[in-house]
Amino acid sequence: MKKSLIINISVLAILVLGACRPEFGELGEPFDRTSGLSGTWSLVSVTQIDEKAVNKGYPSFVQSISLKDRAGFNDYQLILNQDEEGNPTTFEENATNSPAIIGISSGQWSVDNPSVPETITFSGGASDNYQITIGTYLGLNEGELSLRFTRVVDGDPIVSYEYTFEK
Amino acid sequence: MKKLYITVFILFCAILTKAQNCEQATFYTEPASFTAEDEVTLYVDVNGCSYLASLDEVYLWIFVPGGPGPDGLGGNGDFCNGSNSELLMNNEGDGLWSFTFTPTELFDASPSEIGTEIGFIPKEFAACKGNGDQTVDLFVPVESLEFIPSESRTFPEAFTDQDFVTLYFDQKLALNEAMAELDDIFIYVFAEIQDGEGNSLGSIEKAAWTDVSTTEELQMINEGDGVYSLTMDLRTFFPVEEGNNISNISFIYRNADGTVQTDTYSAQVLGSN
Repeated sequence: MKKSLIINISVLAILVLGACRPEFGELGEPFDRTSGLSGTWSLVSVTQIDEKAVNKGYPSFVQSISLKDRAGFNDYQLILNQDEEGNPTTFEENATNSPAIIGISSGQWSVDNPSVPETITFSGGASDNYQITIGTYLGLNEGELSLRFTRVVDGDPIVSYEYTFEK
Repeated sequence: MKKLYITVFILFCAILTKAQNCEQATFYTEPASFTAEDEVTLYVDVNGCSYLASLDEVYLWIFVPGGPGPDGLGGNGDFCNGSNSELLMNNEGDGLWSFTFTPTELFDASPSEIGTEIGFIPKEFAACKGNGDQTVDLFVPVESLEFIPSESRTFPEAFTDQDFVTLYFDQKLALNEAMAELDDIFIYVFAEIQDGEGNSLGSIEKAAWTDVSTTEELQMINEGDGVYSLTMDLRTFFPVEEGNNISNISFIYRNADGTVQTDTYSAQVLGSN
């Protein structure tokens, strides 16, 4: 009886102590993700991913390749402008010596959800639209932007492109 | 002491319950070996399981060990209170029951998620009575989808004419021994073009056979270890008029003067949505 009482008190002590939170520093100002997207972004890497090879669990060297040098993405820049309130306005795709990504040289850009944007839409005219998803917010407030485009054919993803930019 | 009796009793019940799950069912598949992407029919002979053999309906409880259940059909149901009616097996007669499925569709999972084994239990609609109304866990192997190296491959495996595609030639796997001796490798490549209605408009060469070695874009890059590559942006590599598209590309790996070459390879170009 005495032994079980000691065990119970020990368990209770561990639970109570475990519930204590360590002290954290100041969290700082909340980060506005939509306005964080604006700026002049230079492309630093392009990864092409074979979605079918990934699904089949093939070796990594047939799952993805780096495209930046082999496809000649030499001087690609994406300029995302915003208004005074931090809302998306115009964009420019500068790809003088590089393949285009968006395929629209300039126009308007918008996001699906200003609080937590997941998709960016680029519009150049009545029928010119290009959508790309935000790969991750990690690194965004340190000046790194990750975008991802997945091509789907007959409902199946076949190939993806991951673009990493630096501000 | 009392606790010891309870523990022994629970252990006894567990052993008894397990013993009452029929171990005499046998099974086979058609085809005998299959991958996660193949359609397969699972046949189970329950003649060795007297209770199951007496039933008019036998259901399949199916799962990937440590992975998903049959999410493509809405799950297995409730083991003790009622199976998913979609998992009713077909009565083949003489105690033989079958179920046909494609693993990737049944489990709504990729081959890598399915792995190398599928578990299943033929059972009564509502089991758990401990009277032989289910079999023990049975397992059927799934063949791995294996990457098979070859002298020529495309990356990615599937692509549209809006994609980048890289052609790889591996000298170590060359079928023509003379190709394995080359220091410089070129590609003769042409594309089949069709209009928006799918009508063939013929083919376009990137360069004529005699101009291949003088066309910079057609010399492959030596990546080392006998592997050569060439990346094409299919949006711009061939002069395709707006409204038309590429339905196929064909290519021949060769030396500069065209006296040493491979067979002709082709790759389908998917229509983009």
